[in-house]
Parts: sequence; C-alpha cells; structure tokens
Amino acid sequence: MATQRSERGGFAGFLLMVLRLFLGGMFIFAAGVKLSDPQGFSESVKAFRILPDHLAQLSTFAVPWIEMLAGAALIIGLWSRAAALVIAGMLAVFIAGIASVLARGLSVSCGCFGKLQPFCTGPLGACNIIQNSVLLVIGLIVTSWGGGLLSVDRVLAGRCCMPGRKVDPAAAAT
Amino acid sequence: MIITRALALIGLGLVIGAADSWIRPVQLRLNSTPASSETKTPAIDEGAAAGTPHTPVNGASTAAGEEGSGRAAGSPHVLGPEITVPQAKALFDEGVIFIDARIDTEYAVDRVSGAIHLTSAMFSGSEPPQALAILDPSRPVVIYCTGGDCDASHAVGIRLQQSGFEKIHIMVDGLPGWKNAGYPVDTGPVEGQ
Repeated sequence: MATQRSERGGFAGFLLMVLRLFLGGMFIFAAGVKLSDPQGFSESVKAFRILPDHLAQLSTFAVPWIEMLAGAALIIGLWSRAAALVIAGMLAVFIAGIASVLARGLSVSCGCFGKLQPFCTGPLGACNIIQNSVLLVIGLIVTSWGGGLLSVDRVLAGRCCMPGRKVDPAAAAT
Repeated sequence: MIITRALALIGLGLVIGAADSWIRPVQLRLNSTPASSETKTPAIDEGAAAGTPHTPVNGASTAAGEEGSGRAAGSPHVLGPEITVPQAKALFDEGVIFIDARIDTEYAVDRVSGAIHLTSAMFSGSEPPQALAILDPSRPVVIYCTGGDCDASHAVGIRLQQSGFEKIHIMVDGLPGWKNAGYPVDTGPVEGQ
C-alpha cells in the first residue's frame, strides 16, 4: 500500500507532480520575498500581536527559511510527503493567526508574499483564509499520496525495487 | 518516518533562521531618541501663538525655515518619540513635516494638512521612496496613522531611523485624534501621489 502511494504513476502521478511543483514554487517564492525584505516581514509578524519581540525576531527568519527548505524539497521531490506536511502545518498555523487577527478586529496586511498580493489584496480578510485553506488542501493531498512523477522520492523508490529485491516499506512510505 | 523528516526540516529551518537573525537582525521597535537628537519645541500654548502658518508639502525647505523662527520665540522643552496631538500641533505650527503612514486609499480621503504620504512598503523596492528626496534627515518629522492599534507609523519610523533620520515623532492618537481636536486637514486625492 505504502509502496503504491510513493510510486503512484499515470495521470494521478502527473496531477500529484503538478500540485507538488505548484506548492513548492509558491513557498519558495514567498520565502524569497520575505528573506529579501526581512524588515518588512517583521512588521507583518509584529502587527499580528501574537508573539513577543524575541520570538518575532526569530520567526521573521525561521518561517521563511522553513518555507524555503520545504519548498525546495517539494520542487525536487525529496521527502515530498514530509515537506508537504510541514507546509500544511504552517498553513494551519497561518489560518489560526489570521482568524485571531480578524476576531480582534485588527487591520493588518498579510505579509504572505511581502508587499506583493497575488491573490488577496488589502488588509487581512476571509480571502486570505480561503487562499491558505486551498493551499492547505493541496499540502494534505501531497502528504497523503506523495509527490507523483519526476521526483527524487520516486527514483529512490525505484532503486529499492529492482527485480528480486525486497521493498523496505518504511523507506517507501516516505 | 514522515514525522521525523518533517521535524528535521523544521529544525534545519530554525537553525538557519536563528543564524540569519543573528547575522542581520531586524529592528522591531523605534529606538529611544538620544538626548542629542530630541526635538525641542515651544511650550504648547506658546507654540500656537509663536508659530507661523503651516506650509504644505511642496514647501519643505520653506517649512524648515519657519521651524527655526517658531522655535526661537518659545521656551523649549524636550519631546520624546511618541507625542500627543497638542504637541504635534505645536510642531505643525512650526512647519515640521508630517508623514501619513496609512494606505493609499485612506490618504486619498483625508490627511493632516500638507502631510506627505510614505508607507513602510515604499521602502521595500530597490529604489528609496521618492518622498525621501524632499525630507531632511536632520529635521524633525511627525508620523501618524490611524491611532489605536495601528503600527504603520512605528514601522515607517523604524525605516526612517535606518535611513538616518534622528528626530522622529509618532503622533500616537493618529489622524482621528487630530481631527477630533479640530486641527486642519486636507481632503480628496493629491495630484501626483
């Protein structure tokens, strides 16, 4: 079962590959924008009024670097399911943060893509929750079914599955 | 195995992020103004009497001159980074430049009379904001947004501090406080903004 997931091919594999590349590309782009202007992103983090200063300082850099690493892993298809799980977890936290901002009635800009607002314009709102929810669903799909075609995971799974060799279920599951 | 690898990615990101934050830390708060760069202004009552009419945006150099004449007439006291509306009004009467840190659409509706528009996002591009060209880093500026929970004025203040400005004041009650006091505002879009 686990092997089938990691080696899913055909149209399903193609779809998973498209979703994986889209999600990875989005997060590499978002991370790049944040890392190019950390001062701007720190303002967004602070404006949420959730973290104390020392954690806001760390989050300003840790969040985009985690996004960058997870995005890069998704692009090359290495540890696809783990990387998608990381991104899904981050998106869940972002959604909770946005909901908290909306509940408190704060007027805050997203900071998701730096000063660029490709999907939702203006202050944080329901649009940002919908945007992140769509990305969260994509993340969960890749977490569940793997990265699809053209991934390092698939190559590694292929190496382990040469004729006459047994599959290591634990390795194949990732 | 998935969880382990996910934690490994997060851990690696945290380590790199911590190193990055140590190498190039961000400024989260407006630094306290050192004594040498604090703004001295006439006492509020005297300021209104001694000050000259405020000159709008394009007269930045003229406004700076007026500031000098206004200050000479009053007995000075020292202002910190965060100021009240009456203190801001005293600076306004001296011709000190006001900066509106709110978003474009809000600025287009109404603003402190003569205020220029400068947001933190304008500092994110490769070129410095155009507004910096008409501002003198050695002169005081007053920044405001919508008051209350609004952080925009502090964000612009940090950016200006990083650009070499020393006499930065935040009008904490923002434009609502200014309007409630009945002080002058401009309304409608500004040509060229």
